[in-house]
Amino acid sequence: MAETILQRIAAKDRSAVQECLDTYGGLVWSLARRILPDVNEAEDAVQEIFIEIWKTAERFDESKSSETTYVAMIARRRLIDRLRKTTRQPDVDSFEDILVEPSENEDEMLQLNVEAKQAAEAMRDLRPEQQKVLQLSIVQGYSHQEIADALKMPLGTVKTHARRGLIEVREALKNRGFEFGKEVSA
Amino acid sequence: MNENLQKDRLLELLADQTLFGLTPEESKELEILKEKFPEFAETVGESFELTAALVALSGANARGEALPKSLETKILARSDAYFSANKTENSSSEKKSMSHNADTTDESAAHGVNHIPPRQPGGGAVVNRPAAVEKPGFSLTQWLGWGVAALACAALAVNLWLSRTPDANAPVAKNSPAASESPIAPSPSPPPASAAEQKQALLASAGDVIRTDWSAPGENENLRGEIVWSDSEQKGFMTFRGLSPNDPQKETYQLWIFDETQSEETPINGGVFDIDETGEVTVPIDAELRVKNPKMFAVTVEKPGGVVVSKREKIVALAKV
Repeated sequence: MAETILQRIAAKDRSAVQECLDTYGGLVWSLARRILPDVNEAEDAVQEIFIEIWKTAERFDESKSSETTYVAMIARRRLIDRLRKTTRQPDVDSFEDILVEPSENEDEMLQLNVEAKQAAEAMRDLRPEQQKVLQLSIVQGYSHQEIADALKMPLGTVKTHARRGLIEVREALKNRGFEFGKEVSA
Repeated sequence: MNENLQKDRLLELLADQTLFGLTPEESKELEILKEKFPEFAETVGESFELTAALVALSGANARGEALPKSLETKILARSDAYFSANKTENSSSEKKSMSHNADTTDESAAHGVNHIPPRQPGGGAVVNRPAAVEKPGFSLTQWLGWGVAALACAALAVNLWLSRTPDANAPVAKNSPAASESPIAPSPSPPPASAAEQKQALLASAGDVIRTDWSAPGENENLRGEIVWSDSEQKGFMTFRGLSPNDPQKETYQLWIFDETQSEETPINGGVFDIDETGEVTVPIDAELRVKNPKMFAVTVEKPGGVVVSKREKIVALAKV
C-alpha cells in the first residue's frame, strides 16, 4: 500500500514536505485565519503547526482517522493554545456573521473530506443553541465566558450546551460508521 | 461518589478540556480520575479531540485559502533546518508514548498521552522541557521592583511610538556596532542565515527551548513578540513587533536575563541592539555569561554601547517565564 504523506515524513522523506504543504497548507491556513485574525499571529502559528506535524508524524494512525483529520486536530490544539495567550476582545456584533449555517452548497460540501461532511451533517442535527455554542467554541475558539457574555447566557448553560453538543456529534459520527477506538459507554 | 458518577464527571472534564480548557483545580481532578479509569479516559478523550477537529474542519472554508507563498517559503526553510537537525535523532522515546492523540508538548508526554496543558486565561509561557524542572521561586517583590520601575518609562514609550512613522516593510534589526566602551564582547563570525531563520532552526532542533511573550510596561499596547532561549544551546532570539526604532547616536536597547546564577541586582547582559524600522524584527541574544534556568527577560533603553549595570529607568519590554 502506498505510504501516506505523514508516513513519508516520519521516514524523513524530505520530498514529502512540499506535498504536505500543497495538500494541507490551505486547510491549516484557513483554520488559523479563522481563529487568529491577526495575520502575523496566524503566520507564526502555521509555522509551529507544521513543525509539530513533522515531529509527531509517526504517531499518525490511519486506522483511527484520515490524515486530514489528524492534521486538523494538531492545528486546532496549537491555535487554541495560542489564542488563549492573546487578548482578543470578541466583537459581539460580529457573532451573527460568524454563526453561518454549515454549507449547503453542494460544490463546497464535495470539497470537504467525508469525515468533515459527516460532522457538518451532525452539527445540523443539533438543537440551535447547542449548534451555536459549539460553533463559537470549536470553530471560532471563543472561551466559555466570551460566549456567555455574547449570547447573554449563564456560564453553566454554555458549558452544558457545548458538552452536550460535542457528545451528540460524537455519537452521530459513530452511528455513521466512524470508529473512535474501543467502544466505551459514555 | 459511585463509579458511574465518577465516569460522568470524567466525561464532563474531558469535554471541557477539549472545548475550553481546564482550571488548575479541574486539571488536578482530571488527573485523579484518569488514574482511576485510564482506558476510558484515553479513548473518550481521543474521541472528543477527533470530533472537535472534524467540527473545526466542517466549519473551515471548504476550498481553503491558499497558503501565502512567502509563508510557504518560510516553512520550507524551517523544514530544511528541522530535517538536518533531526536526521540522526533517535525517536524511540516518542514511540514509547505511542498514541494517535498526539501530544504537542513534552510536558504532555510526561503526564500521559491525553494530557493537554491547561489553558490559562491570562496567557503564559510555553515551556518545552524534557522533564519537570524544579524552578526556584522568583519573588513577587523582585517582580514588582521591575514593574514599578517600568511605570516610569511609560511616557517615553508613548512618545517614541508616536514620533515614528510606521513602515509597512518588515525590517531586520541591526545589532549596534560594538563601541569602544561597549561592555559587550564582539559577536563571532556572522551567521549564514538570517536571525529569523536561525530562530526557527533553534526551535526545531533544541529540546529545552523556553518561549515566552513580551509584555510592555506602561502604555505601549502595540508591543508584541516573544523571546526564545535554550540552556543547552546557550542560544536565543528576541522577536518584536511594535518596538519603536531608536536613534543609535543617542540610545540603544539592551537585554537583561534574570536567571538562577545571578542576583536580581545583577542580571546577565544579553546584548545591545538597535531597531531601525517598524514591523517584525528578530534579534539574536548575545549573553555575556552562561545562562541557567532563566526566570525573566527585560529590555531597557541605555546609552549607546550599553551599560554594565542598568539603572532600570526605561524598561520597554518584560517577559516572565
